[in-house]
Amino acid sequence: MKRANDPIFWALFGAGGMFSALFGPVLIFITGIAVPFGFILPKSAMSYANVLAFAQNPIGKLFLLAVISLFLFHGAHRLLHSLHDFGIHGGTGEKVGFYGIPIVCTILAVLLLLVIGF
Amino acid sequence: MSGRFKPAANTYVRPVLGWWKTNPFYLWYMLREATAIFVVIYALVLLLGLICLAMGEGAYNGWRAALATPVSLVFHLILLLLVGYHSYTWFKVMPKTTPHIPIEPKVIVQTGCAVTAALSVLIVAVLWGVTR
Repeated sequence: MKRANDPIFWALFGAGGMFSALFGPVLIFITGIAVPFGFILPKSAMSYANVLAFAQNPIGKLFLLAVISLFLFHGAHRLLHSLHDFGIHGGTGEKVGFYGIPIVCTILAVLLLLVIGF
Repeated sequence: MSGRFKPAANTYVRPVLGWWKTNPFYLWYMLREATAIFVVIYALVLLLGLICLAMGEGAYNGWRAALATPVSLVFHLILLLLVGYHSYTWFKVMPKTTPHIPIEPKVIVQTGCAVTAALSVLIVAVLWGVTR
């Protein structure tokens, strides 16, 4: 069973890399720059009612989960393998630590999206 | 040491600290790898927003107010720059990670960046249309 889980994490890394490459910059622009300061987009675009409606929509839920979960899996995988460049040769402990965070956050995001309701 | 990097017994292991400072190419490589930190940070900002959203309107408006501060703006401008660089490098290494596609590497990079730009403009335009 050694290394049997590598392809799963590599696939999540790849999916996260593609997803963050396509959507990362525009999402940061919208949620962090445009909407909070009313630049191009109105401040009301991220009102409680609007974002709640988005998070209650099944497609909106899926998108939010994909962004949060895949971004985290992508980053965790890349950072885990970067340890090698600093002379730390990641074993089981490092794997549990680095993949544990996105796994816990994914479960948390699923629970939150269920709590928010449909 | 463990896993696939385990060396044979009694071999000399060359120290690896600081090797990436010796060549500008390695520095760009390290910057590319470091962008992963900022992809993670942004996901955590959104997760925090989702937590606040689930907690109710008061908590959610607190998250929004935090986003509307100058510190947050500077922070997100840095995020935008580095995650933008991450996007570019993702398409830049794509010809190397998918070597059997019979398309010029330059075309893959250009197409990837063009699709990202077009998608970004489209998303902002649609959002502008439905929220104005």
